[in-house]
Amino acid sequence: MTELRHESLIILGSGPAGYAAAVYAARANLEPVLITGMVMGGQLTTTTDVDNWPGDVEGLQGPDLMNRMQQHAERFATEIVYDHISRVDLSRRPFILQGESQTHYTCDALIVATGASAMYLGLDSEQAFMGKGVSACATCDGFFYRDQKVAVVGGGNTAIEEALYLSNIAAEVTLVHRREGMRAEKILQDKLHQKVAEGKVKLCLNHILDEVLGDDAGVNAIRVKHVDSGTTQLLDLAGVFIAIGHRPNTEIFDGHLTMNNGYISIKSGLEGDATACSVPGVFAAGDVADQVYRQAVTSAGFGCMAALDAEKYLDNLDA
Amino acid sequence: MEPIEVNDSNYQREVLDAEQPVLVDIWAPWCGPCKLVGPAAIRLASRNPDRFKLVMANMEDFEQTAAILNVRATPTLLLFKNGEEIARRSGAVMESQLSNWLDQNL
Repeated sequence: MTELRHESLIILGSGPAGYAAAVYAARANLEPVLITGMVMGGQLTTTTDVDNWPGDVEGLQGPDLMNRMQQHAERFATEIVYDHISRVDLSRRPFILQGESQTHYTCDALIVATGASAMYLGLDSEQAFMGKGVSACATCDGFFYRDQKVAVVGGGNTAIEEALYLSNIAAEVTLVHRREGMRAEKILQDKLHQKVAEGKVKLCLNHILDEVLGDDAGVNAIRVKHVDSGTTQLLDLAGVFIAIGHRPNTEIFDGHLTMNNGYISIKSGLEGDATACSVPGVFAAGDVADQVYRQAVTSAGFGCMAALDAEKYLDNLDA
Repeated sequence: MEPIEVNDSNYQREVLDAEQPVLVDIWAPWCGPCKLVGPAAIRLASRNPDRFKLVMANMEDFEQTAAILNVRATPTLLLFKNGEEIARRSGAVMESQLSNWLDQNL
């Protein structure tokens, strides 16, 4: 049973970029429809403390921020559709989007804010123990590791935040990172070193995760390998959290839009239409088109820009 | 249709002793992706109430059973038939994927 619906503007994604685009587009009377995607609220729904959202002086919780953004979009009559787009055709007008729900959507302008998903290392053993000791979401699964030993793999903000969060739950957290230095914000690194001094976090630097080990009951150890010497060691633990970064959710646009290193290329620059993609009428915002900044606040900023760019595009169509 | 809440004390009766297949949705209030999976499971269950029984297990009241079942992630979906676990999946899932997964396993 296929349903068909046409909209002037469709926004794909329910992270900061998508909701900010919705607020701006709705206030321009574009009557946007926002299609949430599989992880409603995006990456922030799997975090806890957000301490760098301007104006929220005391910080706030990621899921709360995303609820507020959704309510804000709904206040200006954005229609929110719970669906996940699995195919697109951008070669004709209107654009065609096919949803998991079997609904076909068409639109005159499209804002792509599909964000990025947690990456895994790609080990067979990692895949085999998914949900049985391997996790990419400390806030979802940290509960299961109370007073047990765990490891976090990675050196960016996500990894450090997960290590800090888990250090309040687990008996011991080992941070496995392939380099000596970390990319995470300095303030987070300071907090981490404080936990190291308290004996709650151990650092395993210049090491990579080589294998996840376990049995039918789940993970019981990991093997880590030194990046230079190749020396391996076993760490007995019950869980390992993978936080090695994110991959942009661009698969469905492959062959439809020009890409750069897996991210959607946008025009950028100072002449306007900064969020325009290679197909006129398609705009991209947030992590899907940003391999440098990738912050909630930059995503929201790009979402606003995409809405303004789409508004101009739709105005010119009518003219 | 309101799904049945299952916990450590009524698990035996509601899941293991049930006559029809049972889908157990293990969730937690702090889990973002759970907020998507739960409603999808409820919609599927309401569409065809005779096909399986849906029960929701809040980890806060399900800790002992989750440990016995060796559940280590939320959301986790378990499918039971005649008191035996026949399928399991963890992580976010769309309604259509969940529907396909049920079709394959029921």
